[in-house]
Amino acid sequence: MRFTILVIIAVATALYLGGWTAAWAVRESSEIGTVSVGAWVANPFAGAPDADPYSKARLAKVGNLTLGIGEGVLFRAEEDDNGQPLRRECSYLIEGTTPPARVFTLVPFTPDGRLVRPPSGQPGWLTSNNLMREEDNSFAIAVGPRARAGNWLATQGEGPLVLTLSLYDTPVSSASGAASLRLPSLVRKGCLDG
Amino acid sequence: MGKLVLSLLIGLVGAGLVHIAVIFAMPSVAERNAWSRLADLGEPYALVRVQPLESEPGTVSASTDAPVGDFAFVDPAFITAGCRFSLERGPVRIYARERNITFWSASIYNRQGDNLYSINDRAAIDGIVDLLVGTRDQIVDAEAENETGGSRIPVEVETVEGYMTIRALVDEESKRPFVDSFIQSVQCEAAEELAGR
Repeated sequence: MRFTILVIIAVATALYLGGWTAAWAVRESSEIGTVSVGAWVANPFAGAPDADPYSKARLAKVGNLTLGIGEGVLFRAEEDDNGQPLRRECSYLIEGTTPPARVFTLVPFTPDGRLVRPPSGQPGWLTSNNLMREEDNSFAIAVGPRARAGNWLATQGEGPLVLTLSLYDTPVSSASGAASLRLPSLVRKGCLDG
Repeated sequence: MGKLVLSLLIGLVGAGLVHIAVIFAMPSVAERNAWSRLADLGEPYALVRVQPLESEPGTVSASTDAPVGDFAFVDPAFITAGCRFSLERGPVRIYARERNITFWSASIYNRQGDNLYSINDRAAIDGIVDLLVGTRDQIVDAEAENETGGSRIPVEVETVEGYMTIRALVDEESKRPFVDSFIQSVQCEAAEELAGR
């Protein structure tokens, strides 16, 4: 009888702890294998057959369609350069250049991957082909709910914000040195009151 | 008391094993992976659209009759479509009848969601979408029968079931109708249908 109870204790511990740590690891392991440049974070190996098992497990749960190496790399920002979380009611300035790419897009999302769609007629996403650029080929993009002159990416509502910068057909996605990249800065400029 | 500690220790070791087993099993048993989301949208070999999710449902959503998959972080600057296929009875041919005027890229995944192969318009021959996806033996057979001539690109994959996605850029709204008809012209065909012609 005592032996049975001990076996039950051992099995229960194994199942409970094992399941809980696995769930926790999948939830919290999002930084394994990522490359971060300033505020931007990417996982160039996400979805590859030789990716680490934790990101494979997470990907299976999320069900995203990852970009292949021949397609591009998706960088994601959840915080600005000072480490403050991005908010939809705040305005930001994105300034600088990107690594060489055929085309890149800048899109605002909610943390669960829904598009932040501004009122109709306002630019809900930007592609590099339509940007106004400085003489040195750099660009400045204002992100926020209030209209700006120049490049403007409209947001609306309140709550957390995730910006994605997707570089398509870029040498960055081949494994060599994604960490030595230069990506644009992301600075908070102010927030709407209330 | 000593036996209790021993059983807890065994439990800890078992927890490690369970942890590893769960992590490795998850891609195969996850219910909401990309494969099953695509399965919600359409039959195998049918080309289905992958739409970005909207943050405020009901505000803009124009077409409610079209099936909408719930994929997160879909780039709205692209028109994205995909199809599922099986290589059990033969290779699958993925081709577009039209040429695209903008950037496009395509990916082949296995059922678990590993990205096995990707290509874009510059890497493709003449910028044409024309892939023959099969296992090693199927590709060798197809080449022996000279089915892989011209611009067709043979793609060897080690999987039985899989899916592909194709994305085409809409950098200006005026180009949307052209890109849209390009995506509509993409077909996934099982090899038997090819042989039947």
